[in-house]
Amino acid sequence: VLTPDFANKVIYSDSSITDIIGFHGELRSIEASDSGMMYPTIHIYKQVDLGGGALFPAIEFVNGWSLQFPAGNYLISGGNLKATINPVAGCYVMQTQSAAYAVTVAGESGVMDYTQQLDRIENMTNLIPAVL
Amino acid sequence: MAIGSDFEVQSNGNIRHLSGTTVYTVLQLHEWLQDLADDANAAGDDNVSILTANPSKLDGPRSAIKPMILNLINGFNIDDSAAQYINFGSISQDSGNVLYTGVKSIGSPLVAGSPVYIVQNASKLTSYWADGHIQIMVKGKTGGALIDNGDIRAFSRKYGQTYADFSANLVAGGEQPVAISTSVTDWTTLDEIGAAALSAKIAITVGDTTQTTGDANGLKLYKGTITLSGGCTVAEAAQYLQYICREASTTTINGELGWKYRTLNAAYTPNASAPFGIVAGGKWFVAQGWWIAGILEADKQKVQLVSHDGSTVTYPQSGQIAISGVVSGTYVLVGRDSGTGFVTNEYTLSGATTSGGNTCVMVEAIKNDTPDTGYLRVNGKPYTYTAVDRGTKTFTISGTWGQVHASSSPAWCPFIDTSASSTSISSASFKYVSDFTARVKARKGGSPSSLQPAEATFNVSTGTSAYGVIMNTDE
Repeated sequence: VLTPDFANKVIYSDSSITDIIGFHGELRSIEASDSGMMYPTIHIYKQVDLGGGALFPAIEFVNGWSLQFPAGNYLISGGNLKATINPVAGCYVMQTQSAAYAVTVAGESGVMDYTQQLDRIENMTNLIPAVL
Repeated sequence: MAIGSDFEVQSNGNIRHLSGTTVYTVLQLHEWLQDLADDANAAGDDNVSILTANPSKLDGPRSAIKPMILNLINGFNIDDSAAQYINFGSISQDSGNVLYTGVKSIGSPLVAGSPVYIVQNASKLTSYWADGHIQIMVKGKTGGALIDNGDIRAFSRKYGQTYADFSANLVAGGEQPVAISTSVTDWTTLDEIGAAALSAKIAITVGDTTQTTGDANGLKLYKGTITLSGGCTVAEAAQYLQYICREASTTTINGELGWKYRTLNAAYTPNASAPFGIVAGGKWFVAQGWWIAGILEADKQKVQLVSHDGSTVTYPQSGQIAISGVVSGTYVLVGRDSGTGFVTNEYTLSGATTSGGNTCVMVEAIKNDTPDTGYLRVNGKPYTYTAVDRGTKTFTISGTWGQVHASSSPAWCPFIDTSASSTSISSASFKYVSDFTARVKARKGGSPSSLQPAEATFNVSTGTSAYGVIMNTDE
C-alpha cells in the first residue's frame, strides 16, 4: 500500500515493490487524486520494449519526492527505480536493476551504490539513457 | 373624355364610378365636370349642363403639378367607391361635412411590392390599391364629424422586410405624404412557418418587473417580460416577435393586435422597422421596456435592452474556460497561475467552519470573475459551492463540511476541479473583468490506462478561452 505525504513529498510503501509497472500506475493515481493535483508530479516513467512481449520499465522520482519504507527487509525489482530512499533504522532494501537483473543491496542507511550500478546497466544495455 | 365613360353624374348630383380601372386626378374630375357644365344640355348619363347648378369649385389656383383641393357643391358628391378612382388632391362635399383627402406614400428604399395598409380609428381599411407606394384618397370626415380627429397611420409590414409606419392628418385636405421605406431583413432567416412554430417557446407578459443583468446599471424597471424557453435563442425570439407584428398577425400584444402594435408604452419612441427591436451585427437591440427572461448563457452578449427609464442595459461580458484533449477519467484542475503553480491564497476564512455547517465567510471581497457556482478549495481540500453571496463574502458549499477548517485558512476557487467525463470539460460561466493567466493540470491515473501528466498556462479572455492539453501515452 502506498501512502502519500504531500506536504513532505514522501511516498510511504509498507511492502516490497516487485511490479514496477503496477507501482507506476499507483503513483499516477496518487498524482491524479484530488489532493495530488495540488502538488507536483511524483515521477516520470518510461518503458522499453525488449521484444517478445517483454518490457523494461523505469521510474525516476522527480520534483523532490522520495520513497520510504518502515523497518524491515524489502525488495525492489521488475524494472529500474531511480529515487531517493529515505534512510530508516532497521530498514533494508534490496534493489534489482536493469534487464540483466543486476542486484544492489541496500543496507541500514538505505540504497547503496545506486549510481554506479545504474551506469553499468546503461553501458550494458544501451537502452534507457533517454529516461535516466 | 375617358372619364366620362368611367363615371356618371346622376340627376340628384351623385357622381358614381361605372367601370374601368383608370384612376383620375382630382383636377381631371373637376375639368370633366366643368366641361359638362358649359354644355347646352345634359347628355347621356351625365346630368350636368349649363342648365344645372355648378358642380365643382377649386380652392386655390389650378395646377396640374400640385394636389388640388376640390369642393363638390350644390349637392354634387362622390361615394367611397368613386373615391377609389380619384387621387392627387382632396374632395370636400356636402357643405364640408364630407372630406376625402389624398394620401401619398413616399420613401426610399422600398422593396418592390411592399404592401401598404392604412389604419384609421383603430381599424385596418380594406385595401383596394396595389402593393408598392400608394396615392389614394381616404375619407377623413363624414356627417360633419372628423374620423378619429382626421388621423390615420400608414403601415408596411411584410415579414422578411423591415417594417415602416407613418402618421398623417387629413383635416387640411389636399394630399398628405406618409414616409414609408422598407428593406429586406437579413436576420429573419426563418420562414413564416418556422417563425410561427416558436410560439410555444416564447411567452409575452405585460407588467412591471425590476431586474438586473449584473451590469453597472443595477436594478432597473421594465414594463414587460419576454420569456424564452426550450432552448430558444435570442435570434429566434427576435424573428418570432417580428413575425407577430406582420400585417396578417392575429396575435394580441398588450391589448393591441400585432399588425398595429408599435410600442409597449406610449411614452417610448417606437421602433418602426421592428416593434420589438431590430437585429444588427448579430445583436438584438430590444425595444424599450422589455425584459428578456430565460436567455441562454451563450446569448447574453447578443442582446441590448433599454429599461423603462431609457437606460441602455447589457449583460456583462462573460468568460468560460474549456479544456480539451483529455480522456474520460482525467482529473482536470484549472486555476489562476501564480507563475509556478496555482494561486491558492485568494481568500482566507474569517472564521472557523462549523461541523455540520455548509457556509464559510471570507476576509477578502469575492472576485467578480469568480463563478456564481463552482469549486472551492479550503486548506487544499476540494469542495463544490452552490452559491456565493458577494455582499457578505459567503460561500455555500454542497453538503456539509467534512472537517473543521480553522479561521484564516487559505481558500481559492479553481475554475475546474473534477474528473472529465468525456474528451473535454468546461468551467461555469463567469463575469469577465480582465484577462488573466490560468494554469491547467490534467492527470490520468490507473494502470495500465494512465497518461503522462500535462501542465500548461494559457490566457483567459472574454468568451470561451479554450485550451487543448496534450496527454501522451505513459510509456
